[in-house]
Amino acid sequence: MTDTEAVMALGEAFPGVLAAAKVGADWAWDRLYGELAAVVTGYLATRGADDPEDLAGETFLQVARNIHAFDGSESSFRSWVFVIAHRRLIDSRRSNGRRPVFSPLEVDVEGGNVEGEAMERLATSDLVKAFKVLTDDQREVLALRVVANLTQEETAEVVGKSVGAVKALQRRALETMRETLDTETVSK
Amino acid sequence: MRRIDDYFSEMDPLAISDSDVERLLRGEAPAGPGLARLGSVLEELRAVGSAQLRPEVISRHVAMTVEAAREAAPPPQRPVERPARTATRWRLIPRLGTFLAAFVLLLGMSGVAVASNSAAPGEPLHGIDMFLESLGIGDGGLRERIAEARTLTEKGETAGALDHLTITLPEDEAGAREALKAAAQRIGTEPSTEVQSRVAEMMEWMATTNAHGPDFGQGVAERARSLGDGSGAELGESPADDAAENAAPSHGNRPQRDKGNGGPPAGRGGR
Repeated sequence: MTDTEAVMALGEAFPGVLAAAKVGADWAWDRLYGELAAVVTGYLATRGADDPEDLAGETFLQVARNIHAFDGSESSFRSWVFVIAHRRLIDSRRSNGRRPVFSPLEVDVEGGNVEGEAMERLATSDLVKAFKVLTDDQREVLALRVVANLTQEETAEVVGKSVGAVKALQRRALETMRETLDTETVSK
Repeated sequence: MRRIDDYFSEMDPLAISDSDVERLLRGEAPAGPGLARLGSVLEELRAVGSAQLRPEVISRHVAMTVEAAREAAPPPQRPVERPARTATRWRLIPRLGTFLAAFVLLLGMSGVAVASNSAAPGEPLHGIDMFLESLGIGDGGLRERIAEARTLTEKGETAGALDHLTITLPEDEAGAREALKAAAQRIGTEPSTEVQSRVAEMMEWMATTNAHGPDFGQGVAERARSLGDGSGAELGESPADDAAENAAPSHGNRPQRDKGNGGPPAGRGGR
């Protein structure tokens, strides 16, 4: 797969599935939900959503309410779904205000707010250590590329940036993570 | 041919080439040295983000989205009667609507409509079929839905055919829609020959019965509930058939559903 190709799960069947989903066919929504719900939920969980399942449900509700106006390819559809998920996440954070947001990658291992073995496991987790030093934009791009499996173009559409900006963010994120891990290795 | 970023990555030991960036993000082994640990970290991220959704959550969400889509689908656009013009004048440039109407008429008269009319859900032309039905071209009624369901069974998607038949029911008459969904789950992906035969019998009954409304729904529900339950019970005539036959003559009319209507009836989603 090249950097511009995505995994088109439905492929040639997508137009038919989309048309049927627009009129509320159960089987079409089973297909769409089956293809996207897990990655949407995983993306929301990675980005610290309070209740990723619930937020994923809200995302698909909004997709369903507006799908009659959608017209595009499967790739555009994936981008559109994640644009909605991304906005739902932001709205959720705003409504949470100052309430702490849990994410496996936001755990304060030094502050000790995780108990026992979990804390010990997380404290040694390369992922936690490497992710902590990234900016929010860099984490967002990595979540969309790695967890949601979006292409550069789809990711750019979700975050509202150019493809060039996405490439710069992902490269800088990986280089920063590598530097963090290498520095830790040297200091041991 | 080497890419320019490959040269830059050689100059800066911490730089990662574009190609290795993409390999890492896709979960493939990078070519550059010293990136294995970074690859493992990204695998860990991928694992953290892999969600296992609970079946009850999936069912609830799908039901909610189906209902929302049906309620949100716009009603079919009917042609607006244009008032008679008192003054005539030449138009040098036809309006866009005239072009679109001509295009749709051409589609309706052409082989595209004919070819798409038999397209089953999931097939490329099915989208065109639904579009044409929304404009009043093509049956779009019960008979066409049954034909589409039969196409699905011929492709080995019997459970999908049962799901597709749920959109023939404008309301959940006598629990028919739920019965069809339950039957689809019960028979699984490889139903027995007997089950396939009984599905075909049910569709034949749906296509030929004079029952309509709640009686039609009851007949569908009874047949759907018997699918895959291992009872082997003969369905025979249902009370719905008796009621329909004893009712006033219906002039051979079949229940007409979705006459060119691409959206749900008012007040309740579904077909």
